[in-house]
Amino acid sequence: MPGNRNTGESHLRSFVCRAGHELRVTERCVVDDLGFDRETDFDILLRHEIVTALRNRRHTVVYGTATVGPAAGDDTLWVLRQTHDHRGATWFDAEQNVVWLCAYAHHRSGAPGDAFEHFPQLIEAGLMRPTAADYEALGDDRAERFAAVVGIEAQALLAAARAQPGVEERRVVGTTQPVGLVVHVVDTLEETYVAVFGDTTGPAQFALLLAALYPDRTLEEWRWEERLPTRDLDLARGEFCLSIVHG
Amino acid sequence: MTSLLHSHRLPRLELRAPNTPDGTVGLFLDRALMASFREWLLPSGVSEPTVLALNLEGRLLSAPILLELVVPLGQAARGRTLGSLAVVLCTEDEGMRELLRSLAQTHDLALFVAPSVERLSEAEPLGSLTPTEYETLDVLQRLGGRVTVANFAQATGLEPSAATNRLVNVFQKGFVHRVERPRREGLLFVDPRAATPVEDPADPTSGDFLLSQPLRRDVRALADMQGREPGALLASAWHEFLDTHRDQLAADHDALRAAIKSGDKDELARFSKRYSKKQAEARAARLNK
Repeated sequence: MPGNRNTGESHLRSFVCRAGHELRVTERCVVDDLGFDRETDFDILLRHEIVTALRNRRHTVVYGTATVGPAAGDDTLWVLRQTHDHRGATWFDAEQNVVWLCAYAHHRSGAPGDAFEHFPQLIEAGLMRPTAADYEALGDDRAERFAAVVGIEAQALLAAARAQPGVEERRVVGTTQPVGLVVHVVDTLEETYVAVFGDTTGPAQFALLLAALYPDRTLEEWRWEERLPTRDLDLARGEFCLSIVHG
Repeated sequence: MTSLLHSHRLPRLELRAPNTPDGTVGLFLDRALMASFREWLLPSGVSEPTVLALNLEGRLLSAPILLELVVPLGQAARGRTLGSLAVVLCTEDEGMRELLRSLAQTHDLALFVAPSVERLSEAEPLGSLTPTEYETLDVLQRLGGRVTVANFAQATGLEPSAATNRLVNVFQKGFVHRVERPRREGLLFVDPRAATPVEDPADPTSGDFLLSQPLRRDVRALADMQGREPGALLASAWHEFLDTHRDQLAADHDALRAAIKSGDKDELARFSKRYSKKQAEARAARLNK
């Protein structure tokens, strides 16, 4: 994953910021405004000034200082500036934790196609926000990222938990999936408790996580737990827990 | 509902409006009528942080009538004699707003004035506030309307003791609600402008309840039907899902184990993407709504 490690790393069509959110460009903007192919990776998109500005200005703060049109709470579109000539419109999608670059145009007051003429037209036409295709691409990229790292990250998490028996080790796997893990040693048996949040976990990612933690064990060997040995579950987030025993 | 959710909830919002002799618009000149309206508003006080939003739009109130209505309410909010109550007067009439500013200053009241009941977040605090206290309210609002001392200290760069003083000052003047919580969670200071209507169906799962929006809606509806806590219901749903589909999941699990052992990353990626399309369609549909 090449990129500027001070701010984050690009992966497929995303830039994964160290602050935890991702930066992406909508397919319409990629094709119509920037002139790239729709599946172009973020690394390539960085050749465009406005995408560089997106990375540089939104990697810690997800909002701008000026709005495109009136402020609209969570739906507010923010102006992204790059020199005198380039303007973008970004939107922070809090539910997905993504800052989208929704549109780009040159800025020259009064000139045809000026950004501040172009953006309202896109809004009016219902073309400003991400579409189902954008979300599918986001889900695919996240799934691929998760699949690529789950094996290594799950084993690293397990090793860290084993290094401190009885202490919960919490990490985010695959940049999107928070997991808490406790290895609890009872006499000669080792029990591993895995807790995940029901509101952020997908069935596919959960199945991958269990298989990646113990590739030699079957699903039947996992059992439900009412709590972690160290604490109660966070029911407000639908947290649930499974454990597995092994000698 | 658990105490956790209660401890995070936003203030209760009560919307009221005085009826003029002509209905909802027109001159309001009868002091006795206004006095009885005011008495009806607050017979005994409130038991939880509450915002009383009075819709004055379209009502032409004379100065004596306004005095009759506003001063007792503003004094009750300032002194918290009726409990944790904040009062927001809603009017776009600049003349009336100016009069309210003067009244609040003269009588040392704690009031807010908003352009309308739908624009509560734009309410302006009226009363004897220092520039620092205005700034405190501004920061509190920008932080989402609910802060602990630690949150406020972090956002402003103040020491915790100074942050405490800043928040307590505006609380003592009646412009902020204070929610007592278990010691380890710390006091919560709540901006009245973040109030939600009591009839808002989102209320039981508002606040710091961390479900994503689509899950929040679905789980809330289920929880309402079953009378259970949404989070617990979600955990139960996972339990049921894994039990109901145990055979399929066991087969998937075996296939995944094999893919992991053989290093078949394409198969892992394919499996991981299994639900992307459905989730994307649902998200886009919600956005279009």
